[in-house]
Amino acid sequence: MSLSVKNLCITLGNKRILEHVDLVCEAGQFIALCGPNGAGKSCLLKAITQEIPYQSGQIQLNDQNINKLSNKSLALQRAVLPQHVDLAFPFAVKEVIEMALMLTGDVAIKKLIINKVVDWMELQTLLHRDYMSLSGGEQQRVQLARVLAQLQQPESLAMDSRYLLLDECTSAMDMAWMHKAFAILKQQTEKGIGIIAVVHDLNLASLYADQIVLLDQQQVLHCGPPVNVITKAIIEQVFKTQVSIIDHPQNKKPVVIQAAL
Amino acid sequence: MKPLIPPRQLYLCLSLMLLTAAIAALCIGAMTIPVTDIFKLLQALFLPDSAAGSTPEVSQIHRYVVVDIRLPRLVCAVVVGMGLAAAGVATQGLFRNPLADPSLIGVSNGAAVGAVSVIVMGPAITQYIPAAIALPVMAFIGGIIATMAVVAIATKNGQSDTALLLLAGVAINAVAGSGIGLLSYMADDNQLRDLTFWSMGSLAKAQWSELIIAAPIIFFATVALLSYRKVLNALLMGEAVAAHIGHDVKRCKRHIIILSTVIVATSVSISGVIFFVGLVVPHLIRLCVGSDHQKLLPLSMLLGAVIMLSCDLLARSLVSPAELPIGLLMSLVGGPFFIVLLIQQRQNRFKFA
Repeated sequence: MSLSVKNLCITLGNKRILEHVDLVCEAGQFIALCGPNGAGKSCLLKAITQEIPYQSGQIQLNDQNINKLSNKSLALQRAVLPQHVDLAFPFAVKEVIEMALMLTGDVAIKKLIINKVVDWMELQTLLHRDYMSLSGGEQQRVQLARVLAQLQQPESLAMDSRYLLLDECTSAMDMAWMHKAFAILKQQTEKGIGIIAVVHDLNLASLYADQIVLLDQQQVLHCGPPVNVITKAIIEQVFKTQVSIIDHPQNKKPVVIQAAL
Repeated sequence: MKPLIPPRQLYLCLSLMLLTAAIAALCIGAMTIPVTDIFKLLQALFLPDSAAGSTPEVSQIHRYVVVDIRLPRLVCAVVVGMGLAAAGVATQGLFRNPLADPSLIGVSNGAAVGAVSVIVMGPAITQYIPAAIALPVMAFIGGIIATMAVVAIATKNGQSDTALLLLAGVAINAVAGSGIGLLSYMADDNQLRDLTFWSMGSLAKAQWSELIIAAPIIFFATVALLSYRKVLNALLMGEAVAAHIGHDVKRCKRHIIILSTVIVATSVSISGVIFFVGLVVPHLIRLCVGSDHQKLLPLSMLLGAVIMLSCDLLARSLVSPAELPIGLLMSLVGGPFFIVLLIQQRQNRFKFA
């Protein structure tokens, strides 16, 4: 059971976006996609979610080519959170979360799922607010609740394995919520959900991810557990900036400290 | 963001208004007919057995006015109002834009070109298409061409740009206008009178022979739109997100476009071009219950019927015994409303910029 990308190459126009990328996310694994701006992280995610076409390679979800799966069956096996979700019209937060539950007709089940994710993301007080009037961080909490809800549908729970694909899902959250959100995601992996998340904050990636995939110049440069990837030599080479690496006092995971310029 | 009016109360309120307006529409006119006669006639019409004894009490002339003049007009107003409002909701959802209305973006006028061409070039077209359905079919062809053009011009990656959308509408309306102009240039006096009717929009010509085909088409297409309520909601987060949630976006979009074009084109073929219904109605409902299409779509259909019926009543009683074309009246109300909407949008843009 895995979500796998094999030998993926993407060109848009005559610009090379990704070259020979391989990536495997097992059920229950937390993978952080890191790398400098323009490395191709978002494009890799968009290729997996079929938003941009790829020229060669193969993407498989539980051993099936994703292009052969219907939107409905894909929606049961994976949920996607893009960088920005704008709503054109005013919607209550509750209605936004409810949109994820298109495959569930039962009102009681819907209510149960919504209550559960609202609890996780602590949205009780925001439930009847207009989504457009929320701050960026609050909107991200709502969107995260929405994708979590999608995978809580009974039909989805019945699947062999489920995945979350997240593109900078905590970029606008305050530091407390960043960690809370990642802790909630980590709990999800314990229930068998595989996660591929584009993360800019290397320290978040280091603390919560099982594997870090470091993309640079359209290729996967390094891949492995945080201790192996977050080293002074690698980070300085990829990001072209001075850093020191120290151990996190709690769990000895590597923490990046950037030199002031 | 609690709804301003609880949806259930709004349903009840609008249904009562529709009923009242319907009875008023049958009673009021050049000849005032007592409500009791209306009920007797309706009873005779729908329950012929039970009312067998009571029909002779109603005079033949009242019977004619109600059954052959006012009732078809009532049916026409209800289906056109309901259809145009629903098509407005669908178009706005599809373009993710509260200003997208089938009449403003040129779909109605495209359909009008098709309809007018049947009137002017009658035989040349009816040799290919049966005469009975030539009008709606040509209106559909005109409408779908206009829709495709707008989609091609104003959307990129499923996002529509307000300015581009409205400008595309201006361009398409201009092209359609010149088409209608050309056709009226070719038309004779009799046809010209018919043409004026298309361009202004009027329910005066509603008759059973046309309605028997058009009304069911509009009604069922509108009801079919209801099954796309959830997709329309999801589409507001963008096509990509709607697909991720599990909707078959391409197919649904195609269906929604075809259904709303069918509604608009058929409406145009029986009542001409009526502006702003699809813009004003959804906006009012959004103010009351929010943007959730599960409530927005059915409530807009109700309000659309109510507004169309009341406007038609106004149109034929304001300058009685003559009457105003309803399209003129709608534009008179809708134009200023549109300006208010534009100003609101402008303020929003400055607020968030």
